[in-house]
Amino acid sequence: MKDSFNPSIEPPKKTVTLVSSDGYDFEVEEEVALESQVIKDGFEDKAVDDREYLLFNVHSDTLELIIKYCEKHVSSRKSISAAAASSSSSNGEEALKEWDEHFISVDTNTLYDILMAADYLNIKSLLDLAIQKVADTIHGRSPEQIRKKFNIENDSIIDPWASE
Amino acid sequence: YVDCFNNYLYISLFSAMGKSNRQMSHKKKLKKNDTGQNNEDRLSSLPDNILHKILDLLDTLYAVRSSILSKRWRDLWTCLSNLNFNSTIDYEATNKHLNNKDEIFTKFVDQVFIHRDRSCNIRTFHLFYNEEHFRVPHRFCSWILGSIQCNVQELNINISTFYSLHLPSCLFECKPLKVLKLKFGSIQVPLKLRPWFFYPGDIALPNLKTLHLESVCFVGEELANKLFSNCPVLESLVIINSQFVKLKSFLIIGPNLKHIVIENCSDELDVDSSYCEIIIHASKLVALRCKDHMDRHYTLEMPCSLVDVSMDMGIEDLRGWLRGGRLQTERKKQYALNMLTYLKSVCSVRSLTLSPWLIEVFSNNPGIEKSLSVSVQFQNLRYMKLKTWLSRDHIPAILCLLHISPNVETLILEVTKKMVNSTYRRENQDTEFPLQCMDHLKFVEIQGSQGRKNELKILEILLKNAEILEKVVVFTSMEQLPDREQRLMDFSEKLRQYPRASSNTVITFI
Repeated sequence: MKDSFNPSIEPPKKTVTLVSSDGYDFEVEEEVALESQVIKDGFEDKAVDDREYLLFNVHSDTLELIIKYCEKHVSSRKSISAAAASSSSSNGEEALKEWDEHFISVDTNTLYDILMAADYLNIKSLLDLAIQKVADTIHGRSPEQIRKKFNIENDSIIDPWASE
Repeated sequence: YVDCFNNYLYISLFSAMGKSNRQMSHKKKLKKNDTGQNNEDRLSSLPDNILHKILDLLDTLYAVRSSILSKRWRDLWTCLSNLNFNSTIDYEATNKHLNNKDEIFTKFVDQVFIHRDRSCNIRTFHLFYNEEHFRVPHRFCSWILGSIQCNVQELNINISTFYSLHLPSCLFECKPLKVLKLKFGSIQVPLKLRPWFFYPGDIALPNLKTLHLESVCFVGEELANKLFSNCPVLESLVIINSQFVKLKSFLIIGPNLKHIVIENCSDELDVDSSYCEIIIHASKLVALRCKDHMDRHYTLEMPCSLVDVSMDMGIEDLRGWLRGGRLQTERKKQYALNMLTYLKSVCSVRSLTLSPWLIEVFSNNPGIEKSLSVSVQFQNLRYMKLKTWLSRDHIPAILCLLHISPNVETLILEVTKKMVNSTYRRENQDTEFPLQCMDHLKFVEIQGSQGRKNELKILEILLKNAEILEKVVVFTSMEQLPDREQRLMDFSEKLRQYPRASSNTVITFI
């Protein structure tokens, strides 16, 4: 609704600075940063020139990926709602799903990093995506295969179901 | 779910101290992780809440099995909030002492309920039990009770059975319940043997938003009248393959209902009695899908906000329909009047799908065509899908429907197998029909085209009248025909020769 009110004049983009654990600055648009519920909570209380967040738990490599994800989701959401408003058919949601699929196809170390960062920043859709990816990897595998895949050391000798 | 999530938010975000001593991000950086760390078990070091979420996405069998991975994993599964049991998964490895598949399955579910941490709430309990011999696990009711005691929010029970089931009555007073899906029996089970859904005494489901009932029997007026009035926040209702027993009317009433699906329901009919009437009062309805036979009477009280309607009406007894003579004509008239009433009550809709039988009763029925064009106007309709045999009789009915839908932008014609023979029309009827409605039509699609004359006919009319038509897509289904190539060529050749009102029309064959 707000977008269609006066589409010709766009307000200047407000930005937020995110600082990674290893000290790199990332300047991102406000709406991209607000994908994180943690940033969103209490965002209005902060002074405009003080919108800088030190993310102690997120390394710059991961933060780069997280920002890429949020930017994609913000822009897709806009184009999907624009397509819906003009009642033209679009496969925006499917395309986004495909993009997500591709985005999360990373090595396990990166997957954990994304998982932890999404949890830390409380970005629900990304957290769900990463968790689903791990679950898919576990599903259908035998315990021995899971141990091997994830380097889990078997330190217990009791099988809780063996006694039944 | 959210609560548990917030507990983990021990972090707070700090304002940075100043930029001067930091580098900007676009500089090249060294990779943080080189190959050295690959043998680390990072999965096990994830916090409990994340591991719980991962386990919750697995079938419960695999989640429970994770307990033998290592000490870290031993008790994680006991806080599962999603229980998901599916008898098609092989449970045999869980028990070496039992041979019978039923017993192994039953034992496993029992064990999960016994050993899980009962202070953890259950969010969803999903039981899928579909074995050939249709024997219900006798512990079924205690599992439902067990999950109700743990404040279950979503209950999804799918069991094939020949036997009548009595659900525990507290299920219908389960306050936290948001989603209830019950499917008993399958299509293979004869209707008479499907389990009955009895009025359970008291119903109070103050948080129920979604109710799906499949292959159940509704018995007695009391149930019908009380079920919906005690689900005040219900938004989605699905009733499939179900049966109304000794009911005159079934009242679906919901101030918050947004989606309703009713499919293939039947009645246990004595000779004299008539079909159970379905009355829908839903002032916030968005979508209605109705697949039923035309003998059932519907009373629809629909809001203007209605968006999507699918009326897949058919004939229950085909032989009765085809038994020529007066009866047929009278029944057809009666059906057509009923359908007219339904269309009137959903006339504010934006997207509409209609069945071939519905078009058939409007066909060759001049009185109806006239009253249709006088009394119904689909002013908001943008998308229209018509399933049709595209017989000679259907074309005027289709044109009539287009005539009363002046703002349609997309028209889909799904050509299906013809079920009755055409009756002969008066001459010149089909070319005479006025078409004033085509100045919004942009997109036409024909599905299942066999390259027949009537398909050309309707496309000819559309091309001639649609002034801003952008695209025509024809999906062909001529695979079985030996002269497919030739037919297709002839078809497209003729199509290209027709005069067009729009200069930008692209025609595609798929």
